[in-house]
Amino acid sequence: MEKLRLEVLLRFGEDPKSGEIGEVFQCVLDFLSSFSAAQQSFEAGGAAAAAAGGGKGEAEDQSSRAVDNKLSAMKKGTFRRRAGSSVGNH
Amino acid sequence: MEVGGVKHVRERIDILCWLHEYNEKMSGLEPDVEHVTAALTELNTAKSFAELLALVLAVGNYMNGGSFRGGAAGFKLDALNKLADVRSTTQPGKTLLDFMVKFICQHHQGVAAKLVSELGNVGSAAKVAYSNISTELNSLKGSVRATLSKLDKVKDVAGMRSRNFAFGETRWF
Repeated sequence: MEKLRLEVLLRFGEDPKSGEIGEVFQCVLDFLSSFSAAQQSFEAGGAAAAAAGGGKGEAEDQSSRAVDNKLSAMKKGTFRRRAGSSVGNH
Repeated sequence: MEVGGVKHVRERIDILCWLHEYNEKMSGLEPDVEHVTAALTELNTAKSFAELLALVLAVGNYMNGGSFRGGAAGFKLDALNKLADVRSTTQPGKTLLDFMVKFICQHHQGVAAKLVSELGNVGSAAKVAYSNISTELNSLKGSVRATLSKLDKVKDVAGMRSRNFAFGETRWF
């Protein structure tokens, strides 16, 4: 369990000595609950938004494509790393 | 049979008492340890969560563009909860979290569908005070050592051998 705890802390960029695993759990839990609430709200308003879509659609598609391109670049490893960043050293 | 004739009576009684106490403490700790271990494993292996983090990073880097904040290789987990604080300048009431959710539901449906279920144990693990179970386990570890040395004293009798003595089925340390 302790080994797993250290692994998770390192994975999420926390200091293994001072990092609190409880805070990581709480942080993820809070996010999951906001995510679920936003998801429910999106699904509930989905039909109405689709009906009112029209002109906004193209701009949204463009920004979605840009995000997907960024994600593909990151996955290919062609993404530059910010100078001085220690993330990913572990 | 005379009690006085039995060798190491004190140690034997101590070991029996300790064994009872040990099993009781272990069964009390077991559910917490299981929740924490399961949640840690989920955080380490959940593909949908890793995908979500990659998407959040991509969106953050896209938004920050060529500025000094752009090109980040990662972010701290607490940034996840700040997504809901970034408000849209064009759509009142909408936040970056709403955009992320919409984007994920439309383009990465697998992530949206599995995210909550893949991290099912995080909720129960968040209620556990890790420092408490860690202290308890360390104290048990100390008592195991002390008991093993007592067993060494009496191991010649009745075929008890401390090296092969199993403390229940599960040992976490």
